[in-house]
Amino acid sequence: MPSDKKHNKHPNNASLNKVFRGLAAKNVRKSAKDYFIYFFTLMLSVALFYSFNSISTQFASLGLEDNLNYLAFASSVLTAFSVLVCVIMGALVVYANRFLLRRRKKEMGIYASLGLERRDLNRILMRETLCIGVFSLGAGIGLGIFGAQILSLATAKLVGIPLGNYHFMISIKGIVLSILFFGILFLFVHWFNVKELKKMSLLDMLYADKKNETVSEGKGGISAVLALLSLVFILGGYSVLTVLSGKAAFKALAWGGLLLIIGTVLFFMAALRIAARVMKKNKRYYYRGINIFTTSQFAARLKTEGKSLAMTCILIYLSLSLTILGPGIGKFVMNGVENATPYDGTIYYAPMADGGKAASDPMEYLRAAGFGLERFSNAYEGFWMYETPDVTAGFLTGEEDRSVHVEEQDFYTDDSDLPLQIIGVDDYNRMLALQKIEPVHLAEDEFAISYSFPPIEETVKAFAKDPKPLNLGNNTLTLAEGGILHHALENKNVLIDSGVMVIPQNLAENLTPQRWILNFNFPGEYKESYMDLYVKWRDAQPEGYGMWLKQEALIALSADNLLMTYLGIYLGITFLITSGAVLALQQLSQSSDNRKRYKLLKKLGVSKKDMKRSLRKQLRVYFGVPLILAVLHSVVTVFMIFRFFQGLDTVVITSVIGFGVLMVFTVFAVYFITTYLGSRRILQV
Amino acid sequence: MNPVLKVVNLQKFYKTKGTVTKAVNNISFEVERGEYIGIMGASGSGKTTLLNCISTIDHPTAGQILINSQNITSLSENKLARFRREQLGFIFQNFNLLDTLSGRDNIALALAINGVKPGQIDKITEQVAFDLEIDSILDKYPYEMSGGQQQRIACARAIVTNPSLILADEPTGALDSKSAGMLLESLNFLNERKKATILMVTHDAFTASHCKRILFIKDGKIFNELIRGVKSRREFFDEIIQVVSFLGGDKSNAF
Repeated sequence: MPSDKKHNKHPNNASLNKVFRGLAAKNVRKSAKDYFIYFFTLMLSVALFYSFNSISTQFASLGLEDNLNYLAFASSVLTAFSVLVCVIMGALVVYANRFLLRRRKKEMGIYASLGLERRDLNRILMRETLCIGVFSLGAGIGLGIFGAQILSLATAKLVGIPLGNYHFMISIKGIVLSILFFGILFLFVHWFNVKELKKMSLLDMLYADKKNETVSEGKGGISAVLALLSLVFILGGYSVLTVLSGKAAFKALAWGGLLLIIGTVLFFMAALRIAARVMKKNKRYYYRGINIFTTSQFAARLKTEGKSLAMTCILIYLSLSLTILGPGIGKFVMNGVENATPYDGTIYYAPMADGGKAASDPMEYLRAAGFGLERFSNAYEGFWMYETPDVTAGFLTGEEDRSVHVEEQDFYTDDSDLPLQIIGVDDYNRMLALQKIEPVHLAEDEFAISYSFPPIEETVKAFAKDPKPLNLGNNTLTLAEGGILHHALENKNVLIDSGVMVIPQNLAENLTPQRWILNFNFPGEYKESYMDLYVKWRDAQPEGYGMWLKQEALIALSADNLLMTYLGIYLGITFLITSGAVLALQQLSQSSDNRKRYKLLKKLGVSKKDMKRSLRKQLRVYFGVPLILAVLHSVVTVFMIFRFFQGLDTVVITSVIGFGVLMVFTVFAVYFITTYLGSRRILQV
Repeated sequence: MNPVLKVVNLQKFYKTKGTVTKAVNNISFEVERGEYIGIMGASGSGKTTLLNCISTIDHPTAGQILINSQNITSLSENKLARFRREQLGFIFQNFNLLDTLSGRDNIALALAINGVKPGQIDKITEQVAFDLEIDSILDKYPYEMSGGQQQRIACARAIVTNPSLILADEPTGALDSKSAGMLLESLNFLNERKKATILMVTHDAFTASHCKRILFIKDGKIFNELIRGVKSRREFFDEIIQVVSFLGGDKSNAF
């Protein structure tokens, strides 16, 4: 039947298209308030995405040099994590969309009863998704461009560049990436919409609002077991964090975090069951005001609520911990940066790396390889660091006998079996002279301790209070008067040292050479010879050697700091808005389901004040309980990790924590207030 | 002439926790063109399930439903959608108007979905509004209308595409008696002047007395059939009441 076929394809697509356009626009406008949280969250995530993906443009606009690609690396790590962020956002958007679709089941049912095909329903949804997508993308990029300026100022400050260098910039790369990522995301959303719609029968759609939820309170025994298990897991997580964090921080975070997450899920499964039972058992409470209603509201949704509350709690926990730990680690990485680059450049050579080929005269070997330092510098000094199995890190920390081996190298592992570095006092003084510092004097039977960075400071000072003699073969040395020296001996990009023993020169030279270090300063303006030196160095490619120029080391440090700080904040905010949006949508969808119940309450003569109170009570629990538990988790996690950030100033720690807490609470408060007002609007109370 | 609707051995069973509920149990009947037929029964008798099956909203377990000789139980989802827009008009108990659209747009939407040329839509909408005397509320939004007004807009939407069969599910269920009366007048008008075939489900004897024929359903089966013929509506109503009280449903309280 050709005529039928033609009819099937809508002979008059024009009129239908016009209707669709009108409908989509009207629907979006009409439900703008419903969509607000959705839109707000999307916009925020686009802005976030753009800001953190425009970092490389920010570097360029700040005029930062990045010869070794440290900053480029940092910005690509951020971009890589953006994929994760996008996946999270995608899950959220799909979830949000499902909620919005559920509210519109009936509308879809009417369309279908009037004879619209699935294809056409999909098209209506597509148009709306597109509409919201384009708006939120546009607004998000706008907000992101603004946010990127602030971020760029923050970057300037983190990297230590005068703010004068800042000028307005727009990152084309950021915009293209945002459109690409979120475009794909919206495609996914549409695909999920179509899938979701496919699952609904016409009967479901038309009689959507009549469905009751099944009330299940579960048996008391199960609740008790769940509660016990959750307690075990949570406390287990805390103790893993407490015990393990001293040895392997990342391991502790991973395992402790995992236990806490499982414990949290169990906790909410148990807590809601028990709470509902207790409230119902307590008749004096149950029959007061409309508690009977409030309680049943809780009880009716144990299963779905438990899941989303647990998810929210976990997300807030991750968010709070990340926003504090990220910048915290960043600050820790930069702690003592003033001692990071005492010279214009450092060249080092480790005999272990090339089998000792150049060990006899490292300087000569360099020259032979075609790298003559004389061309660039006339102020340079080389020296050897020595070691002996008799003197290990445990000598300073006082844990000499400890034989526990740490499997993984962590960022503050102190393995007491590692030999301490030893330097002869004459070499030491030559290095100080290059920094124009007065020499130190040691008697024949004295030693001194030199350290560069804050993490070891406390250990060294503790040692000075209760000094032990140093046994070197037949010689016994005692700590010299004023023998604690705070000087740096080389350019470094990792601001950790375990202390250097300064001993009489003749004693030192009998020990095993461990590392050769050459420090140099440029005669005049640093930049002129800089590139040339680099080319020569690359051409020579000396095996077993490494070089840290002042600028490079600083950039490397800043890049680490920047990466940790931004990654923490980026992921933190992402988790935060996800949790806020999940909670808000959950509560708003409940409110719209409850519309009839509240209308009924109104008819039964319940005052608006009482209904508002009931609503507030429900929201307080839904927002409060996950927040409190998450804060508890975060406090333990953060403090267990921060415990080992030795030498970090309290003011710095306080500001980092304050920043994280302030941000989390602000965003969370915005979601709480929006949800409360939105619920009141939906329920008309 | 073929009947507009032919239901043959229709069955609809629900399975819940091991027990089978036979909501519609072997029902067969026919509806001729231009008929105004009512389906009555107490709540839970299966009348709405029957209507849902006929209206393609629900799928029967077994049996056949032929509308204009076309077996709708074997149609695909997309063909069903097309079938609905071309052959069926719906009137629901809770009106089911789109509250984002004005009355006029609600009616026009049905035409647009059917692919009527945009130029003609306005004219047709105006005409049906004039016929049903709803021109004054045409540009109001559903939330600005009374229940009766909304239901008459829904009536206009159901008839505007000239469907073979109008299906009404408790159309007066949510209306006061005055609005219900006006709505029933509208339905009479559609049936007598526009020659519309109407199938109406109701549990209200007064509403049912407007029909020309009534099927009574009990426990998923046809229990009785009444034909108005030349009887007055009052007489027909009394007859209905007798059956209803026998069925154990409504008590006589309308007069």
